[in-house]
Amino acid sequence: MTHAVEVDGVSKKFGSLAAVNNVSFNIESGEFFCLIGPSGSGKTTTLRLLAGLVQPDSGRILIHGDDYTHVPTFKRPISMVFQTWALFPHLTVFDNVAFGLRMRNAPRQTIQEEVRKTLELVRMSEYANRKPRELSGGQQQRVGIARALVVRPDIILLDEPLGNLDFKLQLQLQEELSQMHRQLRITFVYVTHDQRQAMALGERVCVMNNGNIEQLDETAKVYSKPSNVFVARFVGESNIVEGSVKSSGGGKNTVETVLGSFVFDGGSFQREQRVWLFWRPENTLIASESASGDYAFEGVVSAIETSGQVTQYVVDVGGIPIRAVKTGLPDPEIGEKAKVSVGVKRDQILLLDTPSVSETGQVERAVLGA
Amino acid sequence: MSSEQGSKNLGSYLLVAPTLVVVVVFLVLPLLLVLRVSFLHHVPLGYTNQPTLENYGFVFTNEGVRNTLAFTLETASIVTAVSLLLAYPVAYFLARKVKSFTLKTGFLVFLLIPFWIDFTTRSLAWIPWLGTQGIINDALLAIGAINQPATIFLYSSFAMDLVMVQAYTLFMVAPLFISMSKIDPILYEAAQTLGASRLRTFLHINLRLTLPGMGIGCVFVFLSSLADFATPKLIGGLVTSIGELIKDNVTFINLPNASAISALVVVIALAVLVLTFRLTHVEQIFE
Ligand SMILES: Nc1ncnc2c1ncn2[C@@H]1O[C@H](COP(=O)(O)OP(=O)(O)OP(=O)(O)O)[C@@H](O)[C@H]1O
Ligand SMILES: [Mg+2]
Repeated sequence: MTHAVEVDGVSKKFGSLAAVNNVSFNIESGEFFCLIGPSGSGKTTTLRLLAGLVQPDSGRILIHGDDYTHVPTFKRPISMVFQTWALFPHLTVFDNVAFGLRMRNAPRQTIQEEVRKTLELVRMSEYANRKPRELSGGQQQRVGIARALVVRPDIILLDEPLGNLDFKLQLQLQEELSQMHRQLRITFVYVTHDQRQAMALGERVCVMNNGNIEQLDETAKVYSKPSNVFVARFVGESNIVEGSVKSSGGGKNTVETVLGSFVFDGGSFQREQRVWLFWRPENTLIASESASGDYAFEGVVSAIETSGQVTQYVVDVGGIPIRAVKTGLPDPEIGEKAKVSVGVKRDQILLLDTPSVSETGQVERAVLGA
Repeated sequence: MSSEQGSKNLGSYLLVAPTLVVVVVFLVLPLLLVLRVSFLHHVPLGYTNQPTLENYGFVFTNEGVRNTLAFTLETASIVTAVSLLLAYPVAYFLARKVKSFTLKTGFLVFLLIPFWIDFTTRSLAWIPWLGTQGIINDALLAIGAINQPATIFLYSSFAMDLVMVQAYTLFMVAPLFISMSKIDPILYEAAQTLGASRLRTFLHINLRLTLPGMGIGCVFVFLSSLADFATPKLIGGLVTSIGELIKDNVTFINLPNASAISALVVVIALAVLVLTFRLTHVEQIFE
């Protein structure tokens, strides 16, 4: 089966800055694909490349197996929700949504029908006759979504479509987008810098940084098995302890850190290689004394944060902050400044050997240049 | 609360008060005066206080007035249309293709150069170009395209249209440039992602969103050409304009007739203005 989208070695430079740096990936048909990454990492540029709004300096873009690299935007089976909405100021909400259908010369009846249905879907029916300037940011955003959805593209590109909404509405629309995706089986390419949205929506997540792909995996895997320190830090909360490999052999590695030495099975490392231990806060065990787990450390609680549903403790262990998350309100036995014990099981710890793809890239370039 | 708002409003109206006074005293009152005189009975060297419609009878039946009015309106329409066609690509180029702000300003200043020179001088500057011994004729003679100097270049309605277009095109470029600069380029991209070809993007976004600018530009150029009687006289040669006609009537001291023609021109100008503003959604400038 062909992929919905195939990005093959695509680069785009602005001046000397590589906004997208020799990137390759596939998006499957009907998939909910999330692109996340910090500000300026190249997410919007990637979407614009897919839409044909910018031309790649090199590489190819295939859609359903056909080369679309040089096909103009209006001929691509793609529509887009813009980060800044980009509604037509002179058109009413209805006419904004109808625009794409009119460009396809759809019959009047169809336009009426489809626009009405789509406005209902984004709950904007009562605003049909308003102009964009008479709408709130969140309402404009929903019109932007409706305008892109109504044309039933094969692929819809969404650039932070829920960025301007309050949390409640965000959750609500997130649910609706998810439902639309299940109903319409359109391929969704969804950009966000909010990893929670990516977790909630994405079937697969692509983490970008400095124009590179740091990791592309199933959503759960990106969370539980980040491939490097950047991804571990960017997606969710994390505990990261730097160390170096002291001995390696016999299928065992010993890693020396300020928290003591850790022994791991498998993997081949060089001696003195820089590595990072990683585990999620929900896997940190915390107790007022002698926490369970294969490794345990004594520390002092330096911060407690609670949402009511979950409570996060930050424990200072010899200058290193270790995070622990437990459900429910704060434990009265574990107050701020309290001496506590934190522990972690060996099989919850992941050994990471790269800071990030972009950094190894630099190292390689330095080596090649030398 | 409402009185507080009322006083605030009064405060902001004070801002326009000086202009309002000038406009009322020097524009509205004289116009009303003209309107009054247009309904008064003409006697040699003046008029009596006897109300009459005879001046309008003259205006609407006199063939000379009708022809001159038609000719002036035709000229103004031609000049407006040609200016629009010339100015649109210029404004498009300035607003969308020139990226550097310094260059943009530079081009605008360049377009303003004709305004550094007074109107009559500027019109006269065309004569060495267009005259029978002018540069164009010399050049055409030299390359053998013609064997005797052509007279159509000067003292013709062609020459008059040309000079007016040159004089008024900037009035078209400026509002077009401004309305085009106000368009967020992302709107073109949005249209294209929704299936609009380049042509349809141009029609539905660019052309549509610059309609108000076109409206204002057209009204500026049309009214300027309508009121221009120097160019027809200096460059157009024997052709006469409605302004010239009014002036003649003033000179021969038939003020009621002059007033009636003036009133008609004002009504036509107002009608053109209102109609154009309506058709081009000028109110959207304020959005
Ligand atoms: N038209 C352009 N001209 C010059 N530089 C650009 C242009 N568009 C993007 N860039 C640069 O390319 C890089 C990637 O930008 P991009 O908009 O793709 O980031 P992003 O991941 O979408 O960020 P954000 O989350 O802030 O929207 C940035 O450093 C940006 O400054
Ligand atoms: Mg972006």
